[in-house]
Amino acid sequence: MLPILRRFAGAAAEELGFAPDDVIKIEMAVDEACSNIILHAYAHGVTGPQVIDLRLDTRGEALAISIRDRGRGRPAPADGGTLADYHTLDRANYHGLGTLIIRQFMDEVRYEAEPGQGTSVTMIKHLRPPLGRPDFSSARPVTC
Amino acid sequence: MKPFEIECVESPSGPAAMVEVRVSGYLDAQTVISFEHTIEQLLQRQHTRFLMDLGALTYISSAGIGALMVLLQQLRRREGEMVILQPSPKVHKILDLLGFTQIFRILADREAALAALGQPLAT
Repeated sequence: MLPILRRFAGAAAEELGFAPDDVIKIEMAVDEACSNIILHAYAHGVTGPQVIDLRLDTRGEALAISIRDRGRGRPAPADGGTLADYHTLDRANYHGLGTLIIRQFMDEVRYEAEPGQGTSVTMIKHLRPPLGRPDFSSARPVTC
Repeated sequence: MKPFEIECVESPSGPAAMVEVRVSGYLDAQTVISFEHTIEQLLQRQHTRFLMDLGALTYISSAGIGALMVLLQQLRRREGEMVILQPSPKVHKILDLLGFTQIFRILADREAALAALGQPLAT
């Protein structure tokens, strides 16, 4: 499932004109969010269908990605640490890197959880013009 | 889309000999389990020099990066080493975006990778 979800998000990002590096960042954020669902949302004896609901929405010059599960409803992951914290061989493990990637690669991230009903994460990435392409988004006509 | 595959070529000359691990497909939260299982078996056979050929790897997630970090951690404790050989452009970009190109020893040339692991070149 994860490759399909990555490709779906990546294809949408490409189509919307995101720069290549941002396409990768969006793919990774989706992958990490979905991985967290697979690993945590339906663990610990949760019964019922194991569903990942992925929605893409364009909001002006931004891509909004909403990922929802129907699992146990997890609290938002701890919002701490930096990538540099993972650049060491002295860690007991490297858990949490995925959550950090989501926060680092997306411009806005919001978690909502309802115990026993599921969790949703909404991630927003703003479109920026790639290098070499001028940004006329704020241009105004000039009359003489 | 290529599924995950891992191939290992072990040099026959003892514990300090090199093992070449070729990973293809994608290394994510679901495929990393198989990767870790294979690596654990290689470590149990006392290999301490790993040549990780990631040229055919199309994607790596935090789980895959974490598994590589744990492997490097364990090898360094055994005075061993790991070199990553010529990752695909996308995987190299991912490692670069996350700053891990400063952590892993990444070489584009097979001869240089073998030399870095203290291995003789084939004649």
